[in-house]
Amino acid sequence: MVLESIMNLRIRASEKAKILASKYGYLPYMVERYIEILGLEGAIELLEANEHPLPDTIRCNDYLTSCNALIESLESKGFSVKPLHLAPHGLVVERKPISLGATLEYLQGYYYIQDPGSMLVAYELEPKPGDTILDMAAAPGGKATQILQLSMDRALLVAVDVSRNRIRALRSHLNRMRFKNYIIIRGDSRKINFKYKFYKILLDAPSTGEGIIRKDPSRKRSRTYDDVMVVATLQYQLLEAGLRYLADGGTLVYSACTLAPEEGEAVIAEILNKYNNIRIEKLNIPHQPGITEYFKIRFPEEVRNCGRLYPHIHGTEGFFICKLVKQK
Amino acid sequence: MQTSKTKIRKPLENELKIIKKFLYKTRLHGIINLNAIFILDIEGAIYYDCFEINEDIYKILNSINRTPYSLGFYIGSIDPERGFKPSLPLAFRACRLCRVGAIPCYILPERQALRFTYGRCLKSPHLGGDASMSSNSNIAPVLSEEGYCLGWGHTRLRASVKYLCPLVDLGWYLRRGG
Repeated sequence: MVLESIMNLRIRASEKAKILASKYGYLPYMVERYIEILGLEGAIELLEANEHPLPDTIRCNDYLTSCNALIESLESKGFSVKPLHLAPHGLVVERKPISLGATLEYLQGYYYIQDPGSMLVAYELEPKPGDTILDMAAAPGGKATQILQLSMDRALLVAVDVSRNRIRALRSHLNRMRFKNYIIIRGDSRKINFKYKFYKILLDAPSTGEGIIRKDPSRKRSRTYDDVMVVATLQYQLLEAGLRYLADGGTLVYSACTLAPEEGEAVIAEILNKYNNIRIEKLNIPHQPGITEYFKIRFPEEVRNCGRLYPHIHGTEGFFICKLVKQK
Repeated sequence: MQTSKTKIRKPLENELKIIKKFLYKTRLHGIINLNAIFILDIEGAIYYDCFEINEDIYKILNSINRTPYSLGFYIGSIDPERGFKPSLPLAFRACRLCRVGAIPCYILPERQALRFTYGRCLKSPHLGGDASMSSNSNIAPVLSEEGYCLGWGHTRLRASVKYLCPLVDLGWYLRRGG
């Protein structure tokens, strides 16, 4: 079992990893992993890129307004806004006279404050009018609102989240952005036992946040390897539940804001080893392929079809995305 | 809120009467499908949230067999003692009618608009649209001069001075929305 093998890994940091970890302020095991995945040069590039904060990015809500009209409106108030080439609805805010969450345009629902990598996930689900889509960890609502936006509020979204506080934010964002084709359910997605089978499911799994070091540098030292494995186990359980709710022929997009293979490829590999009716589809968004070998542990070749976003290559936060299809 | 004692149901006759009364007072009858209103009933709650739900939502709701936390178009809440409190989504819908002058509404210049979204009362509100229709109710949608919908306002008299106070304003999304 892949997850078990990974759980038993004892990652020993090399001298080089220790020196880099000390220079950039990381726990040594993390840097050793980056060297394993990217080679020494790539790891240094990643560590350097993580030193630069993420740009302020927003997603314009073209259900309510055009992106050009939003740019014009914000620029008339002293903002400097440019299109984000990675995502069709993404905008980079280069100058902001006031907080992005305090403008009338924000309160009107004309945009959502969202990191660039996170904006790409919903495109892979291709929400269409008439779809019924399950979002298994929906709060605070970045991807949930994007699903409804991409279908012009004509797909029906079933949004589930377990957190009482975060679910309030989800409801608020859905209302603010004026969507009305949704059902919010508070609960643990692993235990809900839907009788309904969905053709499209999004699981943006809770992660250790290793992908957002550019936003939260404290993550360089805050999580041990054991913490990562606890989260990986939760992610696996959520994904397994998601596959139970998925109709034959349906698509499940799994994502996690992380660069840790334990939370990405290893979870997918575990699923592929257990279920022979799941295949991995290629992604359409810009990405680097998933890794297939990690500290001498082999993952199924299909895992290469999953995608990774890197701060030093894509200019985003670190992200893992994978599209699973349940065969009939 | 969602507990094991929560259920979704059609409004009772008196609840529907409260909603209808508000819609007639604000000249908004017709913008809500009264047959599609559902109430989220939480045992022991002091108010009930009301939603307009389309057929697709209703069908899925039945097949997933779970009580929702929220769903569809949030109309507002019913407090049996205080009556109906309209929601911000309903304000957005009502503001469309304000813009074409079909219902009365308060229109605020930029500075006052900003104060309103901080939940502040304002002196000397200007009532736009057909002012003759305003005699039935002092509750009306509030817009900025730029046409942005700001929420619901109602007038109050304090020491013979008329104030416009927010019933619910857009700033709620920042202060309480999360």
